[in-house]
Amino acid sequence: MSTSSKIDTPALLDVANVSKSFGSVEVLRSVSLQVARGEVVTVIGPSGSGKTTLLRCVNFLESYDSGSIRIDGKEVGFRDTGTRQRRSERDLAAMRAETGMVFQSFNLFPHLTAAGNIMLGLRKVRGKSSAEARSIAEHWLGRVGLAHKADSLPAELSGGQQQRVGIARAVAMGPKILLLDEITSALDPELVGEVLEVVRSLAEEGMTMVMVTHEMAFARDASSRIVFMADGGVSAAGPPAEILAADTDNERLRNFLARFRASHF
Amino acid sequence: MGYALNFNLIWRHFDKLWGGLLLSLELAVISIAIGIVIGLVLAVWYVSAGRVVRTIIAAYVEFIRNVPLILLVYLVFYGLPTVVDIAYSAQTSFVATLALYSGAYLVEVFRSGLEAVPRGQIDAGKAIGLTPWQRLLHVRLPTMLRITLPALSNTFISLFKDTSVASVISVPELTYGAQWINFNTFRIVEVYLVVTAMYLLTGYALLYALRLLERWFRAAH
Repeated sequence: MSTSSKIDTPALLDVANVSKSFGSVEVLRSVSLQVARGEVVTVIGPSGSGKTTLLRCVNFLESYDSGSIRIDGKEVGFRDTGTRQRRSERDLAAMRAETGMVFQSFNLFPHLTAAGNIMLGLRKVRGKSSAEARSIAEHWLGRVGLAHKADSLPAELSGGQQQRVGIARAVAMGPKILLLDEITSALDPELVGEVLEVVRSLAEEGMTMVMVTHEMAFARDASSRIVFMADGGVSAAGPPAEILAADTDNERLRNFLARFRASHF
Repeated sequence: MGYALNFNLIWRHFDKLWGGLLLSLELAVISIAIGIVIGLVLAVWYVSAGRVVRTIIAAYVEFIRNVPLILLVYLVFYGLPTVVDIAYSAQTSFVATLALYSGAYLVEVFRSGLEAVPRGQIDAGKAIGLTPWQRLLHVRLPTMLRITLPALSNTFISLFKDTSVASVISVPELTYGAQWINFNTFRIVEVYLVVTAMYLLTGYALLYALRLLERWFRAAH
């Protein structure tokens, strides 16, 4: 099954036939996905369908058994020798610095302030001076509406605020692509909006994003393409209007959407 | 009738106890400082090493934890110089022993602390492009330290009490001072009452100070 979309420019992210098993459980089955620069691709699907695993493979937090993942033409986790030889840790770190990731459970460093969380990568990975890193951190904290919280520790912030710091930490590094892993799932409903607002503004500025989410309304409004995953494979992919149509031919997708509507409305 | 308590002789020789207490503290501080280095290095090594290294480190920890401290003190002070050509004072020998002893306990403390660092924080460190060494330094160790600080305090208090074992090789710490006064005055009840109070008060003062330090550390980091 081919899921290649009609993109004229070469894909920024090119996932080709990626498979992965945890023990005897096949979590990704020959997944292919191309994302062009500036695109916002949303991945939806029932839990256990491999969405998060796919995302974690893109910055090699998880390895994959076969296939390839390339960002800007460069293989992510393995050396370009074609031997599936894992990159050195130093190389991997450098590759990962090109992608930003925002996590479901925020994962802020608890011993660092909001600004400190953002500055760590800028200083240690990007080699910025402390003053430079601080001013970049303040800029991004301003962008996510938290300029006044620069010196607060994560424990002093609400979930929504922590997640906005998480987003600022990821984008401040200037990544080529931003990976968002169910970033609103751990939030109280009233805090979801403030986080999605930040994502929306990044999308409008042309940030390339791959987003795993259960926020269907947001997926419909903000994404250029929606990918529906089921049982570790891409079951359907296309523009939001096409994928979220109630009368789709894809039975699994129809069932998923029906269940989803039943439980959310 | 019974025994009349008389503390006069104790106060006359109190300098022996006071000097002993200071030496006990000094022994504990130097030993734990070295022990922390041993514990940190071995714990970090352990969590990233293969089977062979793990087995060797585990053997060291198990050996130390299952042999009474007093035997270790004898082994290092009397045993080692008979096997290898090495000479050291009783005090140096004891510090070395207590450092190895606390190191073994701290390997366990730090190892479990490192393993308790949430997976997500390590992922976050990877995601921003930190190398393994940078993740250790800037993500895992700071979090581990917060987790292990109370255990570290407890180990220190316990080490302070363990310094009394040094009396068996005539290191003039607090318990040795007590024995000296006992042998020279025969005021056994009085001297051990005073010394017990000194251990107790110092232990409490240390605990209080360390808890304050922990609270400050938590607030500041």
